[in-house]
Amino acid sequence: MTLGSSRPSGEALRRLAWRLLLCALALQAATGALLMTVYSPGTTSAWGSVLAIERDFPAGRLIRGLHHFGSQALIILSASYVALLFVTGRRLGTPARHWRAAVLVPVLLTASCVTGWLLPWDERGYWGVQVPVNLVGLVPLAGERLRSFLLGGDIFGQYTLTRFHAWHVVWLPACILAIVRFAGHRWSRGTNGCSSNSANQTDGGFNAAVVTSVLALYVAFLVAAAWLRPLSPDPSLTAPVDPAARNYPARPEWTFLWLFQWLKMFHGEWGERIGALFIPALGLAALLAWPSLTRRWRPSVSLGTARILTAVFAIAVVFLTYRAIAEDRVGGTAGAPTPFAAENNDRTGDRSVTSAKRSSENAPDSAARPQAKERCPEEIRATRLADQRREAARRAERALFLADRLGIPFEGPLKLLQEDPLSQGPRLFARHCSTCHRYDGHDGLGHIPPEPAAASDLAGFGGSAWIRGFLSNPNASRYFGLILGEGGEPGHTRMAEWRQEQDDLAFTSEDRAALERRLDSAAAFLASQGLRELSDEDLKWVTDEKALRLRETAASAALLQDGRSYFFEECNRCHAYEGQRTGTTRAPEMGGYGGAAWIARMIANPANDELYRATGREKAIMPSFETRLSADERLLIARWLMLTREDFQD
Amino acid sequence: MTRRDALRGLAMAFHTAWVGLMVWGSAAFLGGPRRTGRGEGGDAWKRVARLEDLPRERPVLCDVRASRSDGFWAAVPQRIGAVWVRRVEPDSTNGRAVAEGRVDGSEGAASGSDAHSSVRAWQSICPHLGCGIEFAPSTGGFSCPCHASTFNSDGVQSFGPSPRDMDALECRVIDADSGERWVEVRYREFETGVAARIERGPT
Repeated sequence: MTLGSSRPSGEALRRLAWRLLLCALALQAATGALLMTVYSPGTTSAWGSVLAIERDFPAGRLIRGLHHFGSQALIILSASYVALLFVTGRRLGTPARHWRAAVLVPVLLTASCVTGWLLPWDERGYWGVQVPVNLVGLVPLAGERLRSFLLGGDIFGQYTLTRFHAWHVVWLPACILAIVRFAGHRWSRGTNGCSSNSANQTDGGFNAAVVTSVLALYVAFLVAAAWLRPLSPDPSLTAPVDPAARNYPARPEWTFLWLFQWLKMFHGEWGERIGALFIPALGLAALLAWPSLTRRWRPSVSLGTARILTAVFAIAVVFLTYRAIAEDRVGGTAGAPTPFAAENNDRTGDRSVTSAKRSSENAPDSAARPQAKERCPEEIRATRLADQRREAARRAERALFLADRLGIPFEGPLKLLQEDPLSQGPRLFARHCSTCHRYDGHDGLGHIPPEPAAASDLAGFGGSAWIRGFLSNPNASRYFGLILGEGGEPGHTRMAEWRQEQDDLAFTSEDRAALERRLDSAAAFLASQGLRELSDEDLKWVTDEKALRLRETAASAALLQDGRSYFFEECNRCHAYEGQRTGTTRAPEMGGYGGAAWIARMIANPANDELYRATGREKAIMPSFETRLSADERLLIARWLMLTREDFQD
Repeated sequence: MTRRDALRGLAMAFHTAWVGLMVWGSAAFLGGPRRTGRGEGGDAWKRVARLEDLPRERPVLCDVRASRSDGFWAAVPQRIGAVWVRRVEPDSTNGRAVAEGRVDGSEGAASGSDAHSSVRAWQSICPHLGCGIEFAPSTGGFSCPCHASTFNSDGVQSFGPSPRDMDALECRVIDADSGERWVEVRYREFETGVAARIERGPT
């Protein structure tokens, strides 16, 4: 045989690549077997067990990192091996069995990757798996049945996890093993006779040292990737998944981004089937049948075709991957809250005009389509994506912090986030409070609501800076300025009147300075009120440093005799302290003011006499949330406001 | 028939029987559990929001809570999904909602106890491949962050790979005993990727 003589190392290169592939597979099996000793498939235990691998087990990060990056490397290795066989082709006389096996390996590895993503039961894995699994449901005739077989039910749940675990650790590896055995059998005997006789000595052109070095390089590369993980864009573990939330920007791993981008090109039910199922299936079938298809072709023709196809495919993959990344980046300026408000106000008018026109002309819906298309720039989507990514990163950080600080409860890690005031407070605030209130100018989650603010900005509420600012100018827009009564008149004016009186009484600059000093001390005294009932139940949600700071603030405030005496002399005439007041005018209770319990009472029912009254002057303008929010939810908002107030002390 | 043949036949029958049993057993086992998670009936109306709390014309994502169990776990009250709810105010836009309801005649249009306010609700799961649909106030429409399907504020598809419009859900406004008005939704999930709306699984 002289076919290989023009490039004598072709055969050896294949051998080397095949060996590297086998070693990479063995490495996956080895690291996988180690991970299995800790991993626990269960919707409430999976996330915690992966966290334990990462955090508690020596070399856990290394082992999981090797498994993680090994899987990505394997995809690339196996695909490259197919390409290598393809472009060197019949020239080196690859047995058809080996070729078919080599084509099937990347397919099975893809299935292994997808099943593996789900196992940590974290947001990235869970949402990343949705799309491929839903694509399975599109297989004609048997799709939905196949999908529910793979999932162990119609929706993702406990049995999905146990099944995916089984597919990932037993079924798919067994298939891969069988195929590799099937392929390697004929290969090692060398049906082409090109150089297999000398394999033992020189390993087909490379000596053993070269093979060992390449393997060592591969492993070194993986180890480096596993250790350097913080530098790569893949964080260790995202937040535990809340299947009902659907707020995670799902993207596949970078090795599959091109497929993700490919899918965007196919629209509609049948488009989807063609793009996601038929074309790939046809391509796979053509590859499997390639040796028989081209048997009659001249070697130079079949080889040339193979090289062109490989080049086109490689360029397409690179291009699609680039597009997928680029489209997500357009205008993705992370950081600033999205300024939705002003834009939206213009649009609302515009929209109602359009629809009024539509209904009067009885135009079909399709008429509105091109318009909506113009109004949906990629930019908005990418900005929103950046927002979602930031929120997801925050959730992940929070989940890891809570798991560290409190441990994972038996009910699962999601419970930690669901009971966490710092996670749920802003969410509830945005949903229920932000139509009137603001939090540092936004809705608690960083967005600016379209409705104009109609009540105070509660960032830092109850803290000395907030109270002092309020005492300086009660009618500032951050405080009572935006609150209007039913007739549109200013809602709460007494504090402003009181402040005016104080100013009027301060004739000299000395008087004024004294007044400011007394207000400083009064603010400090009132700020201490919110912290007087601080409990471990409150403080367990924040870092030790923050807990210490809150405790110190509470303790030092107890010494504020000035503020206390000023309060009882002056403020207590109207504002009750534990139900007692010295005057006759009624104003809200100040005992425990700004604390979680006080805020929760205020949310439940502002017009409860103790705070505001239901009728008359200075009556409650805020509605009661007793029936709209549960006691737990009210406490979540209240605790969040109390625990974050020290962040706004200027 | 010799004794040997008879024994061989018996052995064959035995082996066929146990292999058959294993095949049947494996298939049945893999077919799934005899009983799966149980929860509240899928047809039950689920309260999602108070009408007063909904801003006019701006869709709000409302949680749907129900008691549901997963596999062998006991049923616990939990968030089972989320729906986009838009309050349609005919007063604010000169009879727009009434006219609109007639124009597209979709299932989602439901009028409350009086004709002056109504709500519409949509499943938040993208009909394309199941990602969570977002509302973008700056475009006044919905969009899916995964594969960039976009829908207008009535849930009608305007661009992208989705095979159908957003899935409208039945909804209604009811007067509760307390005098409050609540929006209720019949929560359902549908198969993704297909043009037809096919309900998926028990809720």
